[in-house]
Amino acid sequence: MELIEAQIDSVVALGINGRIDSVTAGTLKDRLAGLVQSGKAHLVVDFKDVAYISSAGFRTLLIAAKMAEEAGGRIALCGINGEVRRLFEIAAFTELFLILSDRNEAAAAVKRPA
Amino acid sequence: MHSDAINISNHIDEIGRVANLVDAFGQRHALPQRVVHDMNIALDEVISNIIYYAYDDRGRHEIRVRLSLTPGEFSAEVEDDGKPFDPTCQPRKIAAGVGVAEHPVGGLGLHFVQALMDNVRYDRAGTINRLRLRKRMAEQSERRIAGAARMEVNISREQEVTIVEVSGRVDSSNAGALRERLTGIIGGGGSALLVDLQRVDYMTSAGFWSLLAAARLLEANLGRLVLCGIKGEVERLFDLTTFSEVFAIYPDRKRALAAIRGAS
Repeated sequence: MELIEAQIDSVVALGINGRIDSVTAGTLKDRLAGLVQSGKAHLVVDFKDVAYISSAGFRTLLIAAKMAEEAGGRIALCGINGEVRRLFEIAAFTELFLILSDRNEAAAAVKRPA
Repeated sequence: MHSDAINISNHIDEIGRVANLVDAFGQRHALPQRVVHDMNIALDEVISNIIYYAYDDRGRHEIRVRLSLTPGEFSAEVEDDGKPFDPTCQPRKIAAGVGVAEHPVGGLGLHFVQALMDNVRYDRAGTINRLRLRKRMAEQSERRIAGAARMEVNISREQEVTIVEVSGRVDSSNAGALRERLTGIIGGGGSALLVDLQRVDYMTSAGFWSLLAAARLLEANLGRLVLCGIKGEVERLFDLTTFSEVFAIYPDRKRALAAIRGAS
């Protein structure tokens, strides 16, 4: 799994390439936690190049979302299509997160007051 | 039946080795991507549960994963020597409409296993937990496999006419092979070609271009190419292209042969 950071105005967009599973979820969590702790609590996570995500990955997202909210920020997700969308639906997570179609939309949404 | 197996130790990084095994097995047997993904997720959930919860000691344990493929089914068997644990008996805790902070994550992994697999069976033999995961798939011939579509070309001769009977599916993966066969015939001196598409169930534009290339080559050699047996979906596609104006098309072989012989 690769993590690639990009900047969209004041928002950090984190692109994930590969699979988010028990082996890699910890790395993802550390990166998200690091970003929130360094003051970047408005985040976009882009799933466009994610092969699949297991429950470990979902747990990580929940924890990261909670951390971001507590720090006065928000996390928005984007690029959730095809197989990954199917997994989000099976997990009933589509209602739980702010999901937009691409990272520009997501960055705009994350900056709006909740 | 095809199978492959791996023994891993009870450390979370070892799951990567299982995923690599599943990916390699999937590629070797041209399994649909979704099936490989689902099996990887299910195994990730099952094995991580074993690693986190099955052992009371801090020792090294072995977990055995065996993959099997029979016509129509991809399955995996996971064996461990940890505490008795039947994942099929756990309640599935999924509650929609609950906020992020309150969402119960416990049980999500097992929910995935049940949702993604067609059959999950647990049994315990002595000190061993055995879990069998099964995923059904369409039969080999019905699957969209990455790789060449199935196409057959039968060549026969009726006096001076070379009859090329094509059957199956013609698309980008094999149209080149069809064109090579046709140009081979033409290069070998065949100047009257009848291409019978009666047994073609599906043809994309790549197939049409192959026929066109052959027709042009023949024209240049003062030969002729006629088509027959165009029906159903193939006919519909022909009508959508302008190819029907370019080719001499006949409803059946008999009339096609008569035309190709009658032409001066």
